[in-house]
Amino acid sequence: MKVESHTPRIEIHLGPEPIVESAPSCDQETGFGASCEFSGRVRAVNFGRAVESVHYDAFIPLARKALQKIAEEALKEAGSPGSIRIQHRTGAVGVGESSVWIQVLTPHRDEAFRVCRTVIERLKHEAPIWKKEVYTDGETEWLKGHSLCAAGRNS
Amino acid sequence: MIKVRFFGALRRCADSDGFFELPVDPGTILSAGDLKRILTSEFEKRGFQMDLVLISDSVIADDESILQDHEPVQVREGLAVLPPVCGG
Repeated sequence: MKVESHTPRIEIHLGPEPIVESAPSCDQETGFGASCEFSGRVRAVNFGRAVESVHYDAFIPLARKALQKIAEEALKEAGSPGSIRIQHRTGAVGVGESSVWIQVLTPHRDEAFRVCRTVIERLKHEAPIWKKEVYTDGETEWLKGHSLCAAGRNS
Repeated sequence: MIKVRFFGALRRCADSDGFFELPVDPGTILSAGDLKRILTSEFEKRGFQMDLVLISDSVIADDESILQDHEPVQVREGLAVLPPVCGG
């Protein structure tokens, strides 16, 4: 396989459906020897408070664009061909359930680890997604986040 | 009057569908920063003092991009106000 000419395959899904953490499909290129996955799950306790669920809000059209850009730039920064799949839940997600899942395929493990880490960190800081914790005592709280004020038109 | 969309913690200041009405005529051209100043004024009038900091930390966006404060925007239904984010 001539990896130099590879066009990144980037798949993004945001929605209320449970995340299906799946293996790469067999039609994907076999030149990718490394698969790195990150799954973020809802914790039962956060800062000492018992959590019942987390409600995710998202500005879908812009979140999709932001994640596409993050994925493309992460591969470019790593100087690697690759494929990336990102799934993020919206709506209510129960304790123990996966709220976000990222799968990165690259030829070698170093790029896979680095790209996966970059994608999740930038997702948390740049994608227009918000979460509200619902506690077992019935109270709720929107979690503090990262301002997008530094982002420009091309962000 | 036009309605802008609120997300995240700003939803507690919006109607049940996530919209917030502003006293601006549709089609008016303002900067995104001017729109935030109008939002601040409306928050003060409506008693949302606790959430003023959310407006200062928010950005105005449409379906395509985030608008910097100096950028002109034609006021219309559906513009989004995005507070600090915390996905994942």
